[in-house]
Amino acid sequence: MRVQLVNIGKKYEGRENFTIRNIDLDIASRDFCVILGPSGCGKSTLLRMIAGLNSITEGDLLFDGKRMNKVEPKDRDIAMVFQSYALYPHMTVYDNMAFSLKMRKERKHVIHERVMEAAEVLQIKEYLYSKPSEISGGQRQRVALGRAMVRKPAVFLMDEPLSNLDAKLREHMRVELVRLHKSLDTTSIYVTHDQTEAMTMATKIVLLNDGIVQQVGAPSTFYEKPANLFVAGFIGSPTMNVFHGEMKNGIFHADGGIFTVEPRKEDADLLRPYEGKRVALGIRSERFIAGEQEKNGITVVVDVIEMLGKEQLLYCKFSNGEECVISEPGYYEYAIDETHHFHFDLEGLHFFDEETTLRIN
Amino acid sequence: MSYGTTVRDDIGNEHPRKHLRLKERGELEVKLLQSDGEEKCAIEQKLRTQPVDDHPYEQALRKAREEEKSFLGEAEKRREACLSSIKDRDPRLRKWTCWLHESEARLDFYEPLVDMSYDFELAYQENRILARELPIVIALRRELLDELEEAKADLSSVGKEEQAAALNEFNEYRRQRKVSCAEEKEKIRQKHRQGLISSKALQNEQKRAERSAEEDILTKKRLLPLPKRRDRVRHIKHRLKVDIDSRWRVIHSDISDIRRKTPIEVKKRYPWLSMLTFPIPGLGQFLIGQRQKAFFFFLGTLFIYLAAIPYSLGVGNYRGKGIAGLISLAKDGKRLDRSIIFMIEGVIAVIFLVLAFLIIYMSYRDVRSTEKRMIAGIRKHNWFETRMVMRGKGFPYIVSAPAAILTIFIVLLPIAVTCLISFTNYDPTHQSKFSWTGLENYKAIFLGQGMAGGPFWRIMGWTVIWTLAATTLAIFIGFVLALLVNQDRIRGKKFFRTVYLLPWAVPAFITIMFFSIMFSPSGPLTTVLNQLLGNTDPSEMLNIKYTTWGTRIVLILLQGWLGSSYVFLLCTGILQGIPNDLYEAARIDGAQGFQQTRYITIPILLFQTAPLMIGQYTFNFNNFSIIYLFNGGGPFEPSKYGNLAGSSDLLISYIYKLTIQKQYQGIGSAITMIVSLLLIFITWMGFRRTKSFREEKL
Ligand SMILES: Nc1ncnc2c1ncn2[C@@H]1O[C@H](COP(=O)(O)OP(=O)(O)OP(=O)(O)O)[C@@H](O)[C@H]1O
Ligand SMILES: [Mg+2]
Repeated sequence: MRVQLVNIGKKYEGRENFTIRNIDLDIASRDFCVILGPSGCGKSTLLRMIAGLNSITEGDLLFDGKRMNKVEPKDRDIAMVFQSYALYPHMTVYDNMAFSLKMRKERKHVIHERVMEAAEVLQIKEYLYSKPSEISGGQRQRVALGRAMVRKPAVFLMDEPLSNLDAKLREHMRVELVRLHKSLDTTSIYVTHDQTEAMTMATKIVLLNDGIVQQVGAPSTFYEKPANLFVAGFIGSPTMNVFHGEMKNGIFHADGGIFTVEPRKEDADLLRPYEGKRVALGIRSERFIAGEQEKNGITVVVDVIEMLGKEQLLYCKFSNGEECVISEPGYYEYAIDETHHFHFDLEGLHFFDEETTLRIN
Repeated sequence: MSYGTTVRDDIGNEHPRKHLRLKERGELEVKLLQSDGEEKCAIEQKLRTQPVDDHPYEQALRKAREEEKSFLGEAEKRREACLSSIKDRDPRLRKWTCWLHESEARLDFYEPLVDMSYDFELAYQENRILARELPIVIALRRELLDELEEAKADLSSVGKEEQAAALNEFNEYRRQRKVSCAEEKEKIRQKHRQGLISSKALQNEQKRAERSAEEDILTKKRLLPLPKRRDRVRHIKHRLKVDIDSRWRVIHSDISDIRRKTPIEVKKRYPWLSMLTFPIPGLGQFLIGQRQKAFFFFLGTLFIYLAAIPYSLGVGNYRGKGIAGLISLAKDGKRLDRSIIFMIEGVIAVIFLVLAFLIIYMSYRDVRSTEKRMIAGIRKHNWFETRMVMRGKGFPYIVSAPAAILTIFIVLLPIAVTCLISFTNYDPTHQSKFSWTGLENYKAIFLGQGMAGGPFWRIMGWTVIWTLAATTLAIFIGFVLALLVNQDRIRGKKFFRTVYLLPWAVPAFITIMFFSIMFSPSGPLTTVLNQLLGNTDPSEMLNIKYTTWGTRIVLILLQGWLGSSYVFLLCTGILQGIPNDLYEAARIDGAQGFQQTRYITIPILLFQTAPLMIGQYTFNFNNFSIIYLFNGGGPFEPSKYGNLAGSSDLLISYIYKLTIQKQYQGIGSAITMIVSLLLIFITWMGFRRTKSFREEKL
């Protein structure tokens, strides 16, 4: 089912400002859309509006072109996994999962089959007859997932469904969820603050902050072409290096005179209007090339080394105390307090307007 | 019992014996068991002839002990020498420093003796801990004392001007902050006037502005020189107490740990001390060397020999004769002697004796276990350890002991006396002197015989009907009202909540009296009722209070209303505690309005309230006041009920009439016993069935 949000906004009763506003989104049928953002940015609010649990203050919500603003949740053909699980405490795990089908007067054996199927996938067969209070947090979360799964809804809403699982199980569930999404033929909308989840599962990411959409698109564009400084800083680990400076004669001069960069031709064209203005230069840690070069090079002192095996992260300092992170293959040998030379990979430079924080190139 | 070649510590580890004579004996004894014939004789011979006092080890040990004694005798001298060399003025620091010196001296003294005996080893280890830890405690205290001194000086150095200036500054800040708060609020109000935000938002935001201003001012105030420094002094004083105490506890538990791991060797093989000292609790502990514990048990001894035993023999009784009085019940006594007094004092004597026995038993068990453990090799607990045990395992007992003793006299005594009275012929003709009659009263009740026993079964029947009907009605009403009022869509929740709580808030007494008057023969409700029914002929007139079932039905309805408040309150609390997201999940799962109530609200409510509902049933079973106030138990039907009871009397009001009004205490007590046992049984059954419910928390 195609889900469209047209200029949607929400102001909670008893609040002074809109929590989110001017949200325009088009989620195609069978998309796996991840709503990503830091805590408190309004992700759950948005999801709950789609579910029909929160009223929509302004704008339109369309399912397959039909306006859904006032339709009851049960008639929207959705299922939702709550951040707080919201399991029925007096029912067994089995009854919890069977409840929605029971409410729809589904045939008994179908209910049983579906519940067993879900329990199998989620590895909760042993706990089917326990009460929610008798199982662990991670197991509860899986039950909550199962409860939504058995419905086979047209839109599958999930609010941080994996946040309480351990790393291993989370990895496993990520794959399972994507598989489930494919097999159910549903549109999934998935809320998380974990960028790894977003990058690995999504076919489309919506990055929210301060109640507005920062960027929408495929995971790769987020990494390769962040739309503004916030996205650049939010996506990717380690965080992208950002240097502030000024354009002079087509050359980027970093503050404190620590280095200069001459952008490649395509970028230079786009940067021309910013001549003499303040600009931020972003570069990911892996886009530094070891070795000295007469142009576009930097000289830094290694401060801390984080060895990750395959690669190592060098936390370096410039002469004026400015810091940057550089990643190099694990077999290179570096030592703390050594001075090293690197230069920029011109293909991997991101330029942002400091005033508007928007991307230039 | 054999000595064996090893001893066992508290943790269960085996240690080789260090006491060579006992070790020899132990080895011989082991061999003895494995041998026979001639060899056996030889070993027995050896065992018999083994020197005791002249054994070389014993001699060496004796010598070491003497040295130890003289060394310890000089401790006082060492202390004085040390004291004169200490510069600190704080008495504790002085004491601890001396202590440190002493423990270092002892460390040196015991070191060469460690292999000779576990006692020496323990002393060595204990002193090692002290020598290691005391410097830390001393340094900590010294440091804190210095800090305290400084902080105090700092505090007293705050000049008047400084304080005044700071205060001025603070007042200025406060004024400004209040102004800015007012401005902020005004801005919010403006927004509200322009319709940008709702009234709820207005309220919230204003409250937030006020709160943040308050917090800011308070923080600033705490930073004024005087409060700030006073705070510091207080903090250091607290640390002086708490930090150092906790250091000491660490030392004590370290020592205790060593005690648990270092065994003891005793020559004794049988726990005879506990046998000998059991009549005098405390003596055994005293002889073992647990003085503080002994002191508490000696208190028990005093109680036993100065209170319990004399009292039970009749000494110090008010009128009675102790245990003897309980049996005779003042039979053939003086004219003023009353059986009931004799009975009560007899029961008190019994309780005293039971307590005395308990104390003796506890003490005996305590000494015996300590002794047995010592024989096995485990050291007795020192006072610190005893206190720790008390604080841990013993804590519930210690806390509940005073309450338990009070309970015995407030609760148990009346129950025991009631129970005993039910086996006597305490009735109008035997008020001053009554005697034991065995099961006569119970027989009369079960067979429905006699003046008092006659209506028993009838009353029982009505009591059961009443309990079931009135309580179920109250629960039903309360439940439904709670569900209705807690609906999201209901407006004016506060109003309804208040109204439904009124029956609870207004004393039931008033409500009952009100309806009692309304339903009186000439009362307004009776009149209205008869007009509605069209009865004009006085002989046909319906009169609630004169008809059995009329009274009964009105009683049930009235109680249904009165009791509903409690249920309402209970359910409201639980309903508000049900998290909202459950309903949201249910909405998505497709449960609408009533289905949510049925599948979610009601099950959760039932889960949580079931035990309390059972309490409601027992409450109504004994609901004396409504019966007594409404119609005094009437109407009276002497043909069926005799002249002791009315047709709306419950067992409880019947008991009241029997015992208080008509002085049939014997049979009244018997009914009380039956009712109590019944209720206890039913409640127990009910709780047992709901226990599984209760343990599943939400
Ligand atoms: N019922 C409510 N009434 C008023 N304000 C609310 C309510 N629910 C949420 N908010 C506010 O809306 C903002 C967004 O909340 P939301 O729950 O959508 O955040 P989130 O992005 O899901 O965060 P998280 O990752 O921590 O779950 C928060 O600032 C919160 O204070
Ligand atoms: Mg959330």
